[in-house]
Amino acid sequence: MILLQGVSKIYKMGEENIFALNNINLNINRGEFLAITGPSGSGKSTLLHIIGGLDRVSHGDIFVDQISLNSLSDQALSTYRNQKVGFIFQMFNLDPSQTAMENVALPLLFSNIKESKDQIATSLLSWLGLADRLKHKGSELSGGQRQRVAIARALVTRPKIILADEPTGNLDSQTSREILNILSYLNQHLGVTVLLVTHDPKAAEIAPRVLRMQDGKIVN
Amino acid sequence: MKFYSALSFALKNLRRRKLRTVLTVFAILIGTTLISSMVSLGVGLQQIVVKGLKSTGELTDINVYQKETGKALDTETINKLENLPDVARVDPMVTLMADEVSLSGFQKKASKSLVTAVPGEATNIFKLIASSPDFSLQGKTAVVGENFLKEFSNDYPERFLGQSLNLTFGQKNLVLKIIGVAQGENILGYGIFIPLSQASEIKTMANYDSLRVKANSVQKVAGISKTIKEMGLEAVALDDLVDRVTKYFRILELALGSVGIIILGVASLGIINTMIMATLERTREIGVMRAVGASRRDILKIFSLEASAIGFIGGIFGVLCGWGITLILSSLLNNYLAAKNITETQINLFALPWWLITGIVAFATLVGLFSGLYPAIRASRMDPVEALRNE
Repeated sequence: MILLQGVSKIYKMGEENIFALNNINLNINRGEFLAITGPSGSGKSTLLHIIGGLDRVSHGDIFVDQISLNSLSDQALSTYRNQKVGFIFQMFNLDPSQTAMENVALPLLFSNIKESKDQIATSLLSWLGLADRLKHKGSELSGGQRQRVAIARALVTRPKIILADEPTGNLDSQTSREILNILSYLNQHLGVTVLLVTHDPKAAEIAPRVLRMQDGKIVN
Repeated sequence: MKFYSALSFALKNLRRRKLRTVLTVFAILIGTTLISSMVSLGVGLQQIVVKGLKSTGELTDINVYQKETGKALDTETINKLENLPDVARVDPMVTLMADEVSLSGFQKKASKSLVTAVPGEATNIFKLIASSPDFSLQGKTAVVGENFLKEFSNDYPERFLGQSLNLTFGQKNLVLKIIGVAQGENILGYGIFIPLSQASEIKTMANYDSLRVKANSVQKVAGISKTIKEMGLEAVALDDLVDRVTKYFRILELALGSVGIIILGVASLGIINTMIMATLERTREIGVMRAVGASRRDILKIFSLEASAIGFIGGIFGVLCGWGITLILSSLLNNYLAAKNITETQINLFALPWWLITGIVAFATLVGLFSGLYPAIRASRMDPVEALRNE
């Protein structure tokens, strides 16, 4: 489903070239649950951003369902992110002044989904155990609740790929386990391809396949 | 992203930051209030002047005069003009200056009064507010303006019908019976109108002083005027005058509105500042929007609509405030005039037609849009990864 061929991402720092990703070759099948581990600065998040279409490669190519992301315009790449990908961030990235429902419905503003936005948001939040928190603002929710709202937002356009960047980084161990179980459920029962970036080896254990990165390269 | 969704989202964003939105809108409001109240003054004055002009005659009338060394206004000229296409009629007029005018039953005498001699059929020149049952401007008859009669008495106009009017021209005298009173709305209300036959008793009439040419329609006036000028005569159409006055008032309105435009220009700097602050504060929000599928164009649309909405709201409220100010000022003015017994009729010094309202609101919206363009472009060009990292 996802194929990376000779992918590099280079940042210029004055005269120096920094390789955030260095000649990555990777094949991820549909429905896989892949954990990506490594120390800080190893390129884990950059890999996620490239796969998610948030950033473009400097060299190489990346194919998702046989479509080259390099060939896509900004508009097409935005549509890809909206329809095929769901992001979950460490810092949740919810708007604290908006309600849980409004946060979840945000991707629907940029989609062509004709169903009621409120209905979709309500059903997702209810499924994630937040039926009584629909009208609560982001700032009124606990860390675990916020991350579940973020998961609901990531799922609202029914994407095929979930990209979770350190989703348990700001949570306690019990809440972390709950979040990881949700990701596992999405993968096993709904067939969603999940890429989980984590520096926590215990969190990585939930994934059947683990990738280790260092200095922009895959080392295992 | 659909336009309606973007607009709804933009308005929601403005509501979330109420104080900042209100303060920015207020700056636009001041500018548009000034524009609407000042320009409505210009439009109101223009309407008063044009209405006054139009009441002096019909838009289909062309006043013809002899040029200094030009063709004479004689019977031959009248015949030529009557034969022009689209000319309904030609009325010759002679102007006399009475040294003294007296009215039977009154001791007072008026001096140096303008008397106009017209053909008996040309009674469309003035509007009658009172007339004898057998009205016919022939022989020893006259029509007198309402305002002229007020110099003698404030009595109702019908009172003067049948009275004798004594006109003295040097050694010559005319005694005429008043058979009609002309409306006093304009300059015709101060005039005295007598039949052409009476004028010939005062002076020899080789030529006429002026001709009033009536066109079949307003659309034909310009063409007929041109032909008359080509014949070597002076032609003045009311339509021309109205056009010229309208043009001058447009310049006046622009001058009056320029103060408000300058203030709007300053307010636009406020919008730019507000929007730049908004994009900086919402950097991470922009990153999240990009992550969930917003394109650069979507971001540009959202921020541009926010800025335009500020302009639009400021425009609407500015027009309302301007209208309110003009109502208060009009009321104060009319109360003052009534207290001083200057006039019984209400004067509408201000006018706010629909084209002015729409124009002001559209202009304010455009000011908002253009002011917000740079910040919106900046927001759309943000790197989403960097934006997401923003604290």
